[in-house]
Amino acid sequence: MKLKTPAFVLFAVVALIGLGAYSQLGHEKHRRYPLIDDIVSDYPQYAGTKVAIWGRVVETGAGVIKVASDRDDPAIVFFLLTDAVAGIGNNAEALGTLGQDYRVSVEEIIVHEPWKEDLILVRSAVAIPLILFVFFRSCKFDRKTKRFIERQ
Amino acid sequence: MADPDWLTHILAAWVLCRLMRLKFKQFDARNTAIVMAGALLPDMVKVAMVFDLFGLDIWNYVNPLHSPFGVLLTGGLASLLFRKSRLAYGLLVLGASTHLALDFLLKFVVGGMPLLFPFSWNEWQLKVIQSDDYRVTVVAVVLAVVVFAGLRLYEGRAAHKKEAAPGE
Repeated sequence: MKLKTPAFVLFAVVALIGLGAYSQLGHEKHRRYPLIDDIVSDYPQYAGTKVAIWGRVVETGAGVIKVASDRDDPAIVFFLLTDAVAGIGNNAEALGTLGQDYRVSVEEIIVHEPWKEDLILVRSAVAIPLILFVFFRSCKFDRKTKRFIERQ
Repeated sequence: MADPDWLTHILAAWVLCRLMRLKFKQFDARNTAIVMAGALLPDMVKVAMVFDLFGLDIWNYVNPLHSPFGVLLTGGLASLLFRKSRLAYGLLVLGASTHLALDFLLKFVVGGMPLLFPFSWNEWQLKVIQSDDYRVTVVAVVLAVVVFAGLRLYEGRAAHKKEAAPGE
């Protein structure tokens, strides 16, 4: 069956909006770990369960990394019990079991250095002129047909 | 949502096209450019970063754009911007597939690729590379240079052989 262009556009746009709405509405229900806000508002419910924590490293010590969540009111600091190495100012994401007083026995942790995260943006910025050059070297926009066509 | 950078994505697509051109002549400069553009298609999801600036969190709403099913739809819409839209669709989806394949290698504590969304909410990851590991980009650049130089040499020799034996 040959789908006409306007019909396909309508189908694709409606499908994309539907997918977005489905994702937005179902996200909460399918969340595997509680939000930090949930933990703060009902700590006893989540004590002893698996939690995913992320935030900025504010202090490190022997076997513990203190991580400040991006929550301001109240500011919450988690004590990640781990032998992993992190520097102050790094960003950390961790999965572990929530104990008493915001202590988390970490099973898995990934530490990100901010400069490396910034470098992702720089490398991506480099790609923009490159892809524009490559693309418009071989294609041009034909105003008459409102389509990209091959350059001769 | 973290990603390898766009440079890695477009270089990976370029390398793939150059290698495929050895077998399929369709992967000329124009079609390679479309595949490279397709390699950035799933990152339309990053439009949410613009909304972040205004304090609006739309990540959950746009996340499907970074899934195979979403890519099939956005690729379909983008392909309409090309004269040969069916061919462009295939090329854009191929490019987007390289993007998703690379992202599948990433390592997160939680999350991953929603490969079967909207049919399943499960997310998968191969946990091979960390998203901010610049060495992946270095590997992509070196690979692109090697492929570029290698194919130049190969094509030069092939042309030389052809010239030497024009009757064949």
